Amino acid sequence: MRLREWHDSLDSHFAGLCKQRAKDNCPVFVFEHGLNSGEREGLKLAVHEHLETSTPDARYWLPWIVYATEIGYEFDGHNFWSPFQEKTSNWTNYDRPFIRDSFKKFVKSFGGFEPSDIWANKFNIICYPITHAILPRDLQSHLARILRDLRFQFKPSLLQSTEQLGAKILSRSDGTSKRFQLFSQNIELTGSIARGLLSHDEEESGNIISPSALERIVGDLRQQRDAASWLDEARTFARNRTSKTARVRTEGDKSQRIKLEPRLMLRPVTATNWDLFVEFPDLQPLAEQSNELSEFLTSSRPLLNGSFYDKRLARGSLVSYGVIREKLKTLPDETQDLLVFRREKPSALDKFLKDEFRLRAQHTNLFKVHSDGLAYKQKSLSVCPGNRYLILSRNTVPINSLVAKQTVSCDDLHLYLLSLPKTISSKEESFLSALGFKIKLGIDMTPVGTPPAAWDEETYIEFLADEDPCLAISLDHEVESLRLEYGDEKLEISSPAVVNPILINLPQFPIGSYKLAVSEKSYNQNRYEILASVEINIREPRSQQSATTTQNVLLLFTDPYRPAFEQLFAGEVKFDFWTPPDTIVDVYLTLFRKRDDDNQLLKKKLFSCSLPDDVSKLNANILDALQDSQILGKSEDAYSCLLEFEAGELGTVPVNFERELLPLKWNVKADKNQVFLRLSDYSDSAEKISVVKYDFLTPDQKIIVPYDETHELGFPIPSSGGLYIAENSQIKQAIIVLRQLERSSFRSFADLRQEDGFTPKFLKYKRTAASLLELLGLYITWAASVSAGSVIRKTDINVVLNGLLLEIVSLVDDGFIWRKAEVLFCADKNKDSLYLHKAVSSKPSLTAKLAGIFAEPRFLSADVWVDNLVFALGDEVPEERTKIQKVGRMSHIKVTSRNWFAEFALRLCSHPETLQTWADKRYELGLAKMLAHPTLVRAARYIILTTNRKTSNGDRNLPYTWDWE
Amino acid sequence: MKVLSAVEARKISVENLRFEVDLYDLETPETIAASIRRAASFLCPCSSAQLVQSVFRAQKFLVEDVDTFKESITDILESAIAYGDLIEQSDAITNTSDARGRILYLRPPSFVWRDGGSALLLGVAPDDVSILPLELERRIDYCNHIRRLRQNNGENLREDLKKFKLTEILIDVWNRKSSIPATEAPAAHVEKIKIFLKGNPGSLENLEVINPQEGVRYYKRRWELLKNQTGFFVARRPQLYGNNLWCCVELENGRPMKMVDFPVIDKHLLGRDEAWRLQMAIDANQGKVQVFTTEELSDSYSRIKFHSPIPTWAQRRLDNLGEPVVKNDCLFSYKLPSQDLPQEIKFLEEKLWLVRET
Repeated sequence: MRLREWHDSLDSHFAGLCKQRAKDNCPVFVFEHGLNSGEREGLKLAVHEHLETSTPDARYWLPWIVYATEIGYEFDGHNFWSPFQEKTSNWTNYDRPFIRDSFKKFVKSFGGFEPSDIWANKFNIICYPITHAILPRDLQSHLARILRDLRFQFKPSLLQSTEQLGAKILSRSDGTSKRFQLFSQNIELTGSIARGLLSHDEEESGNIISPSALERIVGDLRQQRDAASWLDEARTFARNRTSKTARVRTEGDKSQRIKLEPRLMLRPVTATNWDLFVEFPDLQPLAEQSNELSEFLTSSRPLLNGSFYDKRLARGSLVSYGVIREKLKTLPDETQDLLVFRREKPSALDKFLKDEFRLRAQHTNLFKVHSDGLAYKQKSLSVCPGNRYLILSRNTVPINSLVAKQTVSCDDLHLYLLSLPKTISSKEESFLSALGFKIKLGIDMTPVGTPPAAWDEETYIEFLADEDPCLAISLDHEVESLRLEYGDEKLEISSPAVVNPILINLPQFPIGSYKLAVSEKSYNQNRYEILASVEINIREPRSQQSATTTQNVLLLFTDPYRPAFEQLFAGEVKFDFWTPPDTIVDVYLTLFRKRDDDNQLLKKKLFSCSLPDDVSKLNANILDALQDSQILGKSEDAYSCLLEFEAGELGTVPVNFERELLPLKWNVKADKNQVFLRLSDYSDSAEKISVVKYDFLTPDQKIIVPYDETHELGFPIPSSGGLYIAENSQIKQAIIVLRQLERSSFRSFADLRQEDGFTPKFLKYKRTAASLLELLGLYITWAASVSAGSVIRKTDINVVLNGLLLEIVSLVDDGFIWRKAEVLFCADKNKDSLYLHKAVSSKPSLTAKLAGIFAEPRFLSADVWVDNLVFALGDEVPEERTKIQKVGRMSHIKVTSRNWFAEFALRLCSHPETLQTWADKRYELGLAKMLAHPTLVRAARYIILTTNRKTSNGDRNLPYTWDWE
Repeated sequence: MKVLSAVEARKISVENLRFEVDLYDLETPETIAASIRRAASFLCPCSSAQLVQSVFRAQKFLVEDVDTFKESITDILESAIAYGDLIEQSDAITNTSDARGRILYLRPPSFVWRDGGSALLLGVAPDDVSILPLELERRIDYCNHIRRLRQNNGENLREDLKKFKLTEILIDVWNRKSSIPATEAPAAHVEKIKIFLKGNPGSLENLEVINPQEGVRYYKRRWELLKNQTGFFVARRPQLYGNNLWCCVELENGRPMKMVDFPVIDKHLLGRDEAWRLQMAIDANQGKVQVFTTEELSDSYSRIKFHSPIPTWAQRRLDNLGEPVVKNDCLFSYKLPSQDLPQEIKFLEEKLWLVRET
C-alpha cells in the first residue's frame, strides 16, 4: 500500500473509533491504530519510500503520526530524535514541526488526546508521539509495579474513576524513573491506562483503550517477568474487589487515611535513669495526598522541637524511611508544633501539624513499662494491677511503697516508677485516684492470631488491609450478655464465658479507622452499659520507596533526597551512612547506557572504607573516585548510574542516579590536551540556540561565543575554562568548565592558591533593586551550574562566588567602608575582626552585642544565629506588615517578623541560592528590606565571616556549614 | 462479626500468614517462623524478648501447651537469627555505654544462590510485604526457619530474583567462611579467651552461668543463676533494654573477679557464637566433651542430632546442605544427604571438638 492508501484506511478507522469514544467522552490515541505487526512494517516502508522522493506530504499525515507513535512506543526515556533520524533516511530537523501539526490535526479531527503536562510544555513536539504511544516500553514495569502496590486500596469507586486512579498512581511515583514521574503527572492519561489494564470487562476497557492496543501492551508487559507478575496480581485484586462476592466490604465505604500521631517513649539507661524519646510514624501516607506535600516533605530538613541533639532531621527522612526515634531534651509545649520548618508550609501540612501530629502531653503522663523494658505513653490514665508504670510529670509526686523516684534526660520534668501489686488495697486505690489514675477492671481485649501491625496494649490496634482480624475478649465477671458494635455490625453474645476468652472474627473492612465498642448487660438489668472500646485501624502495608529504612542495620540518607546523575558527578550529593561499628564497605559504580540493566557501560570498584569511622570522608572519597578518567570518559554516554555500598553479609545498599530530562545537554570531551564542548539538543525548538561565556577573571561580563551546531567535536575550550550558557527564549542550560590543571606542578591546595590564585574583577553596579537582582541571578547561575574538569579546581568557583557575595554586600552597603573591611579581614588569616566589627555600625551598643554572641560557634546551628542576629539588632530592623486582600471585601494583615528578615540576611550573605525557594512570594519584599536596612546585611555578613574564620581555625579544623533547610 | 472456636481462629491465623491450612498448623515450626518474621516486620528494631512476647501474646489463647509453645518461639527465633532473616546488632539510637543493648534489625529481602540451582531466601520487608510475585511465592519451600526456592527448567531464577530487587549474598559471605576458626586444641582456645578477661567487672546483676558439671546432653538445664560458684564460666548478662550480653567470667565464691563480653576474637560474630564455642572447649578440656549422634534415614539421607547449640557459621553449613527436622531426644537435628555426612562430622570434630556418640 502507498502512503495515500494508508492515510485513507487510517482515516476511516479513527473516524469509527472517534464516534465510539464520543459517547463516553474518552479520548482516542494514535496507538489504537489497530495495525498488526505486518501492517506496521508495511506502513513503515511506505513512509520511507515516500521520503526518498519528497518531503513529508501534509495531505497524507495520518501514516506519519502512526510512524512517529511507533518510535515513541520504543522511546528509551532519553532521546527521541536520534533514533527517529537513524530510522528515517532523508529526514531533516526542519520537518519536526510537521509532526506536531499533524498530531494537532488528529486531536481536532478525531478527539485525540491532547498532552498538557509540564513535560508537554518543555518538549512540545515529541510529547505527542510519546503520549500517543499510551504506555511506552520504558514505563510499563513502573506502572505495573505501582498498580500492584496500590492493590489494597482497590474498590469499585476507585477503579471506575480515571481521575482518582491517576492521582493514586502519581502519589506512588516516588522511587520510579524521572520520566515515569513526569508521565504520571498526567493523571487523566495514567488513570485511563490503568483502568484499561485493570478492567476485566472488555466492553468497559474497550471504551478506554481499544482491545488490540491493550492486548499489545499487555503482551509486551508479559515479556518482562517482573512487570507481568505485578500486573497479574493487581488484576486479580481488582477482580476480587469488584466481584459481587468480595470479602472486603465496600458498601458504605468510609475509608480515610489513618491518623499519624507521634508517641512518647522512655528507655532505660540505668536501673533508675531513663531517656525520653519521641517516636513518629512514616509520613508517606501524608505525602501521598498531594504533589505539593510530597515535594515539601522530601525537600525539607525540619528541626524536632525539644530535640536532644539540636540537629536537623535528614532530608527525606520523614517519608519512606519508617519510624523515626529521636531523643528529647525538653518536652515540647502543647501549643508548639513538633516539627519546625523554616520555610512557609503548605496549608495542609500546617493543619496536620496543628490538629493531628501532636504529642498531647499533659501535666501528668502515664507510661506502661512493656516486657522488653521500654515504656510507652498511654492515651488514658487507666492502670492494671500487677503492672509497672512510669509517671512523667511537671509536678512532684509523693513517694511511697508504690512510687519510686527516677531520673530522666529531660529538663524540668519529674519521673517516678509506679509498681502495682496484683491486689490493690483500698488505701492504694485512693492514692491512685488522687493522682488521677483509674484502675482498669472487667474486660481485656487483645488481638489474637497473627501478630497485629501495632497494638498499644491498651485501646489501639492496627491491622493490615485484606487480612482477617481476630480479637480475644476476656471478662473477669459474669454477665447476662455482651454486645459488640463495630462499624455498622452488631453481635450479641449470651452468657459469655469467663474462664476462657471469647474469640471474635471481625469483618474485613476497607482501609480506615473504626471503633469497636463492647457493652454488657448484667443479670437483672434491662439496658446495656458500655464496658470498653478500642480503636481499630485498618491500613495498607507500606510500599518501601527507599533502599533502606530505620528497620535495617544499614541506613543511608542522601541529600538531596533523590539526587540526579549530574549532581553526583558535580559533588553535590551528601551521603550520611549509619552502620554498625567496624563495617567494611566496598563502594561500586555502574554506568548504564539506558535504564535496562543489560546496557552496562562500566562497573568499577571505587574504594573500600571502614564505617562509621570514615563516614566524614565518604563524600570526598566518592567525589575523588569519580574523577577517574575512565569513569569520566564513559559517563558522558551514560544515562544513569548505580552506586552500591556492599557491606558483606550485612547486605548492599543501592542508590540510583538518573540524568535530568533536559532539552539541552552539554557534553565535554577531551582530545589529547584540548577540551571540547558540544551541545546536544533534545528540544523541539526550531529557534536558534546562542552560546555565551563568562570568564573566571571577569565573572559578570558576558562574551558571545560563535557556535556551530553541526561541528561534530564541538568547540574548543581555552585552558582558562569558564561558565558557558546555551539559551534561546525558551530554554537555558549552563556548565562550568574548570581551569585545566598542570598536574606536574600540583602539590597541595595551599600551593595551588599561592601559585595559581586569582582575583575576579567585577563591573560597577548602581545601588538599585534591579542591580541587586542581576548580581543575585549571576550568583545563582554560578552556584547552580554543573561543573566539568578536575575537582581540585572547584575552589575556583568558590573564589567567584565569594567575589560576587562581596559585590552584593557592598552594593547594599552603599559605601566603601564595608568592602575595604571585608577585603582586609579576608586577606590575612591572623587579622582580627576589629575593623570589620566597626564597619557594621557606628552604634556601640549594637556592635558590643554582636561581639558578645560568639561563645562557641561550632556548636550552634544556623537557626541559632538567626536568634543571635535579632538579639544583636534589637529594634534596628522592624517587622513588616502587609495587607493581604482576600476574596470578597475581607482582608487581613500578614506580619513578616524580624526573625524572618534576619534569616533572609544570613542566607543572602551565606547561601543566596537558597533565598528564592525559601522566601517564595516574599523574595522581593526581603530584597527591598535589605536595601532599606544595610546594617542588617552588614551584621549578617559579619557573623558569616567571623564564624567561618573561628571554626576553620579551630582545633579540629572543621569549617562551619551554614546548614539552611 | 462472629464468635470463633480456637480451631477456627487457628485456621484464620494460618491463612493470614499465607500458608495452606491443609498442610500447616499454627504450631508447626514453619508458621511460627512466619509469625516471627511478621512480628519483626512491624517491631524491628526491637529486642528478642519483645518479638517472642508479641508472637506469644497473639497466639497463647489458641495453643494447648503454652510453655512448650513459648519455648518453640524462642528456639525458632534463635534459628532465624542464625539463618540471617534478622540481624542482631548494637542499638543505633544511643551511644551511651551503659545502654549498649543489642537488638534485632530486619535484613532487607535477600537470597543466597546454591550450586544445585536453588536459592535460600533471607530477610524480611517492612510490614511483611511479599516482595515476590504470587506465582513465585507459591513455589517457596518452607522447612522450619528455612525458605527455599528451586529453579524451574528454562528459568533464570537468579537473575529474576535480582529483578525483583532481592539482594544477592554470595554463599561464602553468608556461610561466614572467613569467620571459621583455624583448628586448635580446646585448652589453647580456653587460654586464648582468658587473655581478654578484665578485672573489676562490678556486681553483674542477674548473671546466669553455664555449669560445666551438669550433663552435656541437656543444654537448657546447664544454666543457673549466680550463687557461690568458683571458676571460669560462660555467662549471660541481662540488659535493661535489648538482648542479653554473652560473656565469660571468672568467679570466686559467686563474686565476679574478671569478665569480658563476647565477641572478642571476631567483632562481626554474634556474642553467643564465641560463647558456645568456648563452652565446647571448656567441656572438651574437662573431659566432658559435647556430643552429637547420627542415624541413617531411608533414601540416602542421614539425620544428625545435637544436644547443644552451635555457632552461626556451623548452622549455616547445615542450613545450606540439609534441613532441620523434628527434634526427638535432642536440642535440634538436621537431615542431610548421607554423602555429605563424613565431611560434616569431620568439620564438627575439628572446629567444635564435638564427638559422635554411637
